[in-house]
Amino acid sequence: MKRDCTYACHSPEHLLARRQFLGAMAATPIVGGLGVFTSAQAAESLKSQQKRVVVFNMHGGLSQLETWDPKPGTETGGPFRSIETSVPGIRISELMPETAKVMHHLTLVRGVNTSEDDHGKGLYMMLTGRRQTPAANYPQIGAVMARALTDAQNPLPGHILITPGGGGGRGNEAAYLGPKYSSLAVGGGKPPQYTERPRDITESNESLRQDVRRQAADKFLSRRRTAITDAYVYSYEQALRLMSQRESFDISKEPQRDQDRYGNSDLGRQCLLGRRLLEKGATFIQITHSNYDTHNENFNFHLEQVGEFDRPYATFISDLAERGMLDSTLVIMMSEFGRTPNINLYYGRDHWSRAWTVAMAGCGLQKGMAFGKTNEKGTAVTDGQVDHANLFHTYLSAVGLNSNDSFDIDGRDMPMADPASKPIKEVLA
Amino acid sequence: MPGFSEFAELRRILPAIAILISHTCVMAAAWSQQADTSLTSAIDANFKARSRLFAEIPVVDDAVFARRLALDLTGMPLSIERLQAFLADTGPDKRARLADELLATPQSARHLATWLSMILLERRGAKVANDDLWTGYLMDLVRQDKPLTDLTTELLTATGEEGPAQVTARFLMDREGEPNLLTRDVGRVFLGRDMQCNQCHDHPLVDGYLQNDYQSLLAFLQPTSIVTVKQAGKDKSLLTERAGGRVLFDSVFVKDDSQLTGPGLPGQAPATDPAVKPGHEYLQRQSPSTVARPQASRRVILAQQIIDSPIFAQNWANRIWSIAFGRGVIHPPDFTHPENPPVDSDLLKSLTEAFKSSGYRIRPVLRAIVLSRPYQSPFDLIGPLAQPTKPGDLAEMKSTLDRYDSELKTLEDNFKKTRAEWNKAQAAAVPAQKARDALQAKLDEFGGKRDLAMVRLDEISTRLTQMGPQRQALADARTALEKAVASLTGDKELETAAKTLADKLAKVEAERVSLTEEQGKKAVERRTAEEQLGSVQFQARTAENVLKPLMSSVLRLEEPFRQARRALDEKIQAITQLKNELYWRETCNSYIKAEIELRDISFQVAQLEPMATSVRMKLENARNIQKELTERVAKQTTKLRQARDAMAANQQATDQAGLAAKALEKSQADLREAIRLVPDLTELGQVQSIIEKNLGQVTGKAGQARDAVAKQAAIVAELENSLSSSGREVAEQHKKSELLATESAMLDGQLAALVKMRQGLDGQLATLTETVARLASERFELAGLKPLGPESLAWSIMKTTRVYDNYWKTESAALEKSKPATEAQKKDRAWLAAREAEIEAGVYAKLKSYPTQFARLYGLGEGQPQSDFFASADQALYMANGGSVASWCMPSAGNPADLMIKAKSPAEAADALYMGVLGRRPDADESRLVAEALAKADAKTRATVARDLVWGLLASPEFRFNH
Repeated sequence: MKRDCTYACHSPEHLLARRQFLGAMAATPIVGGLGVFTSAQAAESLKSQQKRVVVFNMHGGLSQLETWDPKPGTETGGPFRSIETSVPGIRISELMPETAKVMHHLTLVRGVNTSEDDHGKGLYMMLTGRRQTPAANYPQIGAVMARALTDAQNPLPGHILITPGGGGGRGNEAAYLGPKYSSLAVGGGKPPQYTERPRDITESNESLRQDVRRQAADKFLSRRRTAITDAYVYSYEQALRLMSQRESFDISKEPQRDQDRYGNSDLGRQCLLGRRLLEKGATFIQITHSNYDTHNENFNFHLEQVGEFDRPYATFISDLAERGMLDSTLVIMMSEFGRTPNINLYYGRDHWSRAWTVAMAGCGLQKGMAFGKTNEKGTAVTDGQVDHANLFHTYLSAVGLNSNDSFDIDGRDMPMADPASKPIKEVLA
Repeated sequence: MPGFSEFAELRRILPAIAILISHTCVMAAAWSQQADTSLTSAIDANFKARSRLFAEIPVVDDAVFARRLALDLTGMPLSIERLQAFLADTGPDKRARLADELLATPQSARHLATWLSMILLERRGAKVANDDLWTGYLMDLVRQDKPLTDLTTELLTATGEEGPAQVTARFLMDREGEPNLLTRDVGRVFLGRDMQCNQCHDHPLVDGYLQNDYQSLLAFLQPTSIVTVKQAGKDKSLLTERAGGRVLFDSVFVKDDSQLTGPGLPGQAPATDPAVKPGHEYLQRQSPSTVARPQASRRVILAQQIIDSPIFAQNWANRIWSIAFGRGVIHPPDFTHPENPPVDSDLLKSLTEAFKSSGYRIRPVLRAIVLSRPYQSPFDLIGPLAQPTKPGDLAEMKSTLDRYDSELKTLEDNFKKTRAEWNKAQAAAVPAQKARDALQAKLDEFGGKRDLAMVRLDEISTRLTQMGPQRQALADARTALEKAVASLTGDKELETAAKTLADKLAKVEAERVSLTEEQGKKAVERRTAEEQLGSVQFQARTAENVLKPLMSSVLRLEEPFRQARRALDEKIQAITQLKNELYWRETCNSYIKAEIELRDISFQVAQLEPMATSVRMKLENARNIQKELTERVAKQTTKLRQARDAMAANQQATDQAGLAAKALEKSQADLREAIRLVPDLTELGQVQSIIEKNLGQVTGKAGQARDAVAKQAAIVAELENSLSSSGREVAEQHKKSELLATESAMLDGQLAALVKMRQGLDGQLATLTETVARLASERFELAGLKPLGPESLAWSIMKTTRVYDNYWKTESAALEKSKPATEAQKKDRAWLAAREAEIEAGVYAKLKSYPTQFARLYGLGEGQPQSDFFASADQALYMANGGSVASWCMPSAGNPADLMIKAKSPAEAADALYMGVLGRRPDADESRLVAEALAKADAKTRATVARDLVWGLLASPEFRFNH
């Protein structure tokens, strides 16, 4: 019954996924216990099955020349040298000595051209995989991953932002996927809002009120059971589990040795909390490192900022690898754009979206690879040019999704990624 | 009804409440006369004709109806008193009276205003006016039953100018006047079509949505934007509108596919702009202090086109229906397309016609809907099943479907052919349109210059006219002053004054000269602009003449395309509807079949079960007997052994006695021989007599023992006899048991197989039940489950815990104190209604932070459809640990927890809890839980226990969903 449109299709996988979802709902025990994993074995099997995603957002525009794609000895190269990495032939900036040691886990995409030099628009494109249009609002990667990957039984929210101080309200990153997939901001050792019982509600009060609720719910569900009534009843069990998981958000519970390894910085603590939450089963984590908008003194700033980033990031990658989690975790390091090869009068670099790098690691990717090339001065992509939409498709493919699938939003099919684009096949394992 | 004290009290005051109610009903009666009862009959007839699942779907009871109705019409349940009064009401039409009463409440006005606002603004933040003004505007619309046509015109033609009408600009200005955003939302809100995805190409997933549809709607809105102008020294944001043209566009997917379109609604004949002479497009051009106003406002045309379009009434009728059923006859309401057709075209037609004939008003249509039969259906599957659709009928439907499918090809070909021709004509017109647009830019430039020069010339001439008398007066004064200076020589003050006067005159003169000079320049500018304009106008006319035949061929070719498209859409819709119907009937058939199979199996199980049981009992019996017999044999064996042992012992005694006798006899014989040989040994005679005596004894003993042996031998023989017969019995019984065991095992096996089958069928039926119930409520045969909106959830919790009523009481008392009602006013219906509205507004102002909190957690994002349901852990956490919900549940003046702790028995307490929170009586399990909880509580913890029980029910799905 298709007429003129041949470029997209109703995918049976997506219909199937919906049925599986409903089926899973039906199989969900109405009265659940606490905790998702009853045994270490279950946690083990989750590690090998459940896919997780981490985004490092290098806010302000990370310089590709001082990180992933150095051009030492050229007029655009700046003062820093390049160093060998654990992968012969791939060299990165000397500002990242620790990262160089984990290069065999990483995948660099050096031919990114997004043609958008505005901070807001660039970030929107990188996080949603689409260009911003006034009439449409697209969900960000965190919401997409949360919706596509989070197991209904997971006690942790599917979309977590780790900020230095924690707190903050719900964002609107989920667009049409709905607030369930909007981010929850945590950090600073504080558990999420309302997870503590008021003092006048004792444990026996709690168990009584939950008993009454469950009894009424069982009676109602025995009359008519639907996905929405199940989801509602389930949300209370999920809340109870989250209340019992308050310590998941407390990094002081991590060994002192690890706290030392990640270092005494906000970013170090954010990374450690990220690791802790991933181990507790979180699906998506975004960590923002600010601020790379170095129109002045680009080199001093990058010396300091990248210096702060290098160790926690490399520790994070090698910890995930050691724990066998990197094969099921996609770690993306992005920015809204790169920085100009041209060095301005203030020793700064300006916004540059024509030729820059995104780094990935883990799940579903070729390891120890640098895909794409820029020219000698780093002013243009000469090989393997990709844009934000290709990258977004690639993220989805890397975690095992079909990036041409659509979400079913109340009877409407909303493509997960820009239907006019496709993943970067060369970097996928 | 529950017999505890509060309810008894209630019964006492019922007559008073009844009077109050009849009073309110009189208030509503005038309004309800306008309601369309024929719509109710049409819905009922449609329901009867369509209903397939049940022989008869029952009508819900009064309590369920009252809760459903109150939640749908006012966004909160009835108070317990009002519910009890409704249940006690035995008058006729009490459901209709309740609907009228509720629709007339200020809460209903607010609830319906919220409903409208969710559709119109989708929680966008106010860029102009504010939320209270906006809600007030919508509440007035509901209260006054203003036609939605008026609303549409007001919203689409707003200017943003300060004044009472400024609030109407929110639809456009909250979207920042952004043409693409407006195009999407005008399409969704007023036309029921979400065309966001066909902005840059034909919709990738929906055949019925073309890029042209989007672009022609955009042509209405593209000229609009927001500008900041300076008026009276202040910056103001206002809507400005350029003169509209045609929109040129390409598909991002198809190369070399230039198209163009003028304004028009999707699938409808294009709108025609009134003829305007090139260069005279504006009533007022944009300047730093004015917005642009074109001769022909595209937004005015748009509003009119929308109102006149058949889609408009259908869209709103569909949305009003969804208030009552939680989903539209077309669902989602903003996704109308051939592959998402109405559940029932006739039903939608009835609603649309009724909405039109009611004058496009909400309440009459809503009233007719809530009094209809399907609105009063239960939400779960109960009732006797109907007959399945016959295989022949299904086959006929399938063959019709095949025929439709075969007709599709021709229609599709025709669609493609006419479209290609039309697109070709469009592409041919594009260069001419581009040329014309370039000239229009010049027209706008020169026209703008001319108009600006004209505005300035007007200003100059006004100023010059003002200056004439001023100059004269100054000149006169100078003459007079000069005379005075001459007569009073040396007067410094006069000389200074004369100098000032001279300066002033010179200044005025200078201004006059400069203005006259500017006037000359501006006149030249104007002339130049006019000349340029003239020449461009000439070119524009020429270009227009080139364009005209091209455009008329576009228009001419659009007509056959539109027809081809309509024919194709109609066929696709018919196919989809038939497919849906077929699916529904097949699902019903499977359901009915599964039900029957389950019944059969249950019957077989029921028959087999007693048989199996009886065999199992027989077997048990036989095994018991066998056991007894076996025990008997064991006992007999023991006895026999004992008897044999005893016999052996006696035999031994007999043998010994025999030997002893023989020995004695031998001794006697020997003795006798000795006496004969030695007769004088007298002592031997004594020995002989001793031996004789002993021999007698021994012989006696031996005789006795022999006798005993003989007796015991008889016993042993008897025992041996009975043992062998018992052995036979055991063997027989064992055989019997074996047989029974086989039989029982067989029966158990059969039973287990049946039970397993029954389990399988149970699961199958559970899945089918879910599907059938879902489909049945999507077809409006059963009621749907409607999640309460965030605001409604907040109000319902406050109403149930009586927070709302307490504030109402306070507000009412305060008003009665500050503005006491006169006796005449107390009888004046209009005054009473106004007073109620005033109280409601006061209560709302005090409590509005709560619905706002709920909206933050339970509401969807700004600019997203607000009808989607979602549940999240942080909502549950807020209910449990945050906000005020738990504290509202504590006992307080007549709320459910209060009634519970004051109840005289656990049964009364359970009644108070369930009636108060869920509007129904508890079942036995529920009463037991309440009784146990209260029994465990002491005087100190009673209040918190009552709170927990109330909270538990507030957090149940039965409260969260209207059903």
